[in-house]
Order: sequence, then structure tokens, then C-alpha cells
Amino acid sequence: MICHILFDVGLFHPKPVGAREGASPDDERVSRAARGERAAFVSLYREHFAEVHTFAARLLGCPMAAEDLAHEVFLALPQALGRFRGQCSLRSYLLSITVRRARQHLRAAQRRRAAESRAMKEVEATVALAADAELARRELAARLNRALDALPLAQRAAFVLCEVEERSSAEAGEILGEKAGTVRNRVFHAKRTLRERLAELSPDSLAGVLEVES
Amino acid sequence: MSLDLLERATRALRETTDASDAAALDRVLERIERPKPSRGLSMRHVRIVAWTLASSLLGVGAWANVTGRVSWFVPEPARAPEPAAAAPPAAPAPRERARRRAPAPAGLEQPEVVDEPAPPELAPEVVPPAPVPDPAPSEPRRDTPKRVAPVAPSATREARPPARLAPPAPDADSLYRAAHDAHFARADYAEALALWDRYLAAAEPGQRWTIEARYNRGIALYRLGKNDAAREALEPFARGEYGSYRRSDARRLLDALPAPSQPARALPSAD
Repeated sequence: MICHILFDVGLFHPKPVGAREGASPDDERVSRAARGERAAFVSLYREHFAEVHTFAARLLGCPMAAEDLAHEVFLALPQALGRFRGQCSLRSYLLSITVRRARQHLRAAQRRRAAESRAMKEVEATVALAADAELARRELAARLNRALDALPLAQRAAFVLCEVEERSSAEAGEILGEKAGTVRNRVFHAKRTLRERLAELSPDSLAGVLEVES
Repeated sequence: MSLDLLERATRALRETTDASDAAALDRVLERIERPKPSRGLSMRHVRIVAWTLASSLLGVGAWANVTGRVSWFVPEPARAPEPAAAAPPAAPAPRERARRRAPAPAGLEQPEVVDEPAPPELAPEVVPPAPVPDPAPSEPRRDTPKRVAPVAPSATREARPPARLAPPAPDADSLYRAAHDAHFARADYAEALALWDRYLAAAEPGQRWTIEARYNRGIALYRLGKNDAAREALEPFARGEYGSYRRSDARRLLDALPAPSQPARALPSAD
């Protein structure tokens, strides 16, 4: 519980489960980037940005906020590399930074989503009943994002890592600095809450979405 | 539908956010390589904050000045102790004598505090004639000595107008002494009243002991049973026209006086 709270306030740094003993492929570039070599940094950036950006987009549910968050993670990377001891893969380390720095961006995204939701209420039914499957899919994703807003950040991150990104609970635990069992527990509670929330979000229009989707 | 709603929504979220946004990568790379603007406070921000603080201080200062609360943070000039507070206790004999000579008027309950002020510098005999059954801690001059050493003007009384610091004229001085002697030493309130009136007529408006003389005159009127005149003389003190000087005493005296509609009492000592 204390770890959960510390994680939420960004004071808990992940201690990866099963720290790696051997050298990772990123090791050399990491040490060069940590020394300030621009080429090494750009190389790492080009390799990992897409994954960080995608995870940020799924975690925040907002492409603009995701871009800002990914930008922030890589801006912080040179300093963060100074603390990186190779306990986990650089990818997991970057995603853990993303989760820690997501709180502010998540609040902004939630505010933006709430405002958009109010503004779009009038056309909601039209969109939901649209014949276009792509529109319906986007609408369903948007609804899940709104439902995710009801979750605490730790549960949200666990759900996105395990269910949306289909990572194992062990890998998610490495990113979140938690045990796999804790991650699974969070995912379980997150799914229960999300099912309730999705059912509350105008069932009629959701039925329309499902009909189009099927 | 084999998948439940959550699984469909999860799949939709997975598919609508993929890693193929190459344009975003280029934008972020451009932002990272662009020099970041300083987060420090610019001079403009500092100026805005300084102006806000200064105007707030000015506003508060003006408000405090207008409402008289400026004394909260402006150190007052050296406060003079109450004149009687610096005076040693009065001898009991004159007090008893005064009490015998000036009993409370019949039908009028004696107020708790009947103190006549005495200027420490000019009026050596400062004897409160009335009994003091319930001395208040803030009234230390009740036991005023018969003779007190002159006190520096700055240490005489709080909030005294500067004009009162002017030395009184010699004839006014002697009138004051005589009135004080008649009032406190001999408890001859009729004579004291006449002398207080003469002193107030002779003294200049801002002269030093006029306020004390006015109060003593009110006390003399009270002792003589001249209720209406006493009320008229004491009401300004009770209203606070002279600040806190004798305000509570005047209120107690006024409370002890009968209502204005009641017939005047017989004069206790003049009869």
C-alpha cells in the first residue's frame, strides 16, 4: 500500500524484479549517451521513441499529451541515464520514467477529455450509430479512455501495460517496480471498475457501436 | 459477440494508438534539439510581482491610516504611564476625612469608582475622596499620594494633545492649586466647584490640566448632588471625547446618577 502511494506521488523508483546480470545490447550506447555523446543519444532516441510514444498515448488517451510526455521523457533521459545501472532493460527503464511523469499530463488529458465530452454530447448518438467501422472503433477507444480516467494511475498503468500492450505481468512489474502478483491484482481491479464504467456510459449508443463492430 | 465490451474497447484502444506516427518522432526530435527557453523568472515577471506587492502594501497602509489601525505597526512614541500610576499611595487620613465630609447623596447609590484625577505636577494633593470598594487593575492611581514629585511632561498621560504641554499661566496655576486643595484636602466641593470654574475660565483651552479640571468639576457637581450638571460634565468623558481618560469611571458615575427626569436630589454637603 505504501509502495502504491509512493508510486502515485512519484517517490517510488522501480526496483526491477530480477535485475539483469549480463550486459544488455543498450549498455554501450547508454554509457556513451550518459557521457553526453550526441550520436549515442539520438540512436537511443530513434530506437525507443515510438514505443514510449505509443505507451504514453495508450496511458493518457490523448495524442497531444502523449507527444508532450514522450518529449519530456527523452528530455529527462540524459540525466536519468546517470542513475541507470542496468538493473533492467533500457526500454523498461524508459517506460517506468513515462509512468512516473504521466501524472501531470494525465490530469491535463482528463480535463481535455471532459471538456470534449461535454461539447460532443449532442453529436454522440450520430457518431455511435455511424456505419463507418473505423469511426465506431475510435469511439469505443475514446469511451475506454474516459473509463480509464476513473482509475488510479497505478491501476491504469498496469491495465495499459498488461491488457492494451499485452505485456506479461512480470514485465509490467519490472516497469512499475512491483511484483507480478501485485500487477495482476491491479489489473483485476482495474478490469472490474472498467466494466462497470463502460456499462454506465450510455448503453444505448454502445450497443450501436458493438453492432457496427460485429 | 464472443468478446465482451471491455475486450473490444481494449482492442480498439490498441489499434487506434500504434507506433507508426513517424511525424510525431520528427516533431519531438526537432523540439529536443531546439534550445529550451529558460524557466527562470524574467525581469518582466519580477517587475509584475514587485508592483503587485508594492501596491498591496500601499493599499494596506492607506487603509490602516484611514481606519486608525496604523498604530499596529508604527511604533508609538514613548508612552507615558498614567500619572497616578507613578504616584505613591495616598495617605489614608485625608481619604477618610474626605469620605466623612462628602457622604454619598441620599437616595443615590455610591458608584464603585469615584476618582478625581490630580495632575502630578501642579496638584500635589491627589486624594480620591470616594471609597474604592472594587479597584480595577487598570486604575492604579486610586492610591495617589498627598505630595508627589513633579513628573516630566512626557511621562504624564497618554495621548495628551501637544498644546497641553504648554506651561500654564501663573494665575491659572494658583487657581488650580486652590481648587485642588478645596476639593481633595478640605472636601469643600462648593468652593472647589467655584474654583474649578474659575480655573477653566482662566486657563487657555489647550492648557495642561484643563481636562483634569473638567473631570474634577464633574465630580464636584456629583458630590453636590447637581445631577444634571454633573451628567453634562461627565458625559463627554463617558463618550470618549477625551479618549480613554476616565472613560470607565465617568460611565460608572453616570450609571449611578438617577434618570434625568427624576427630581434633583438635595445637595448633600451644601444643605
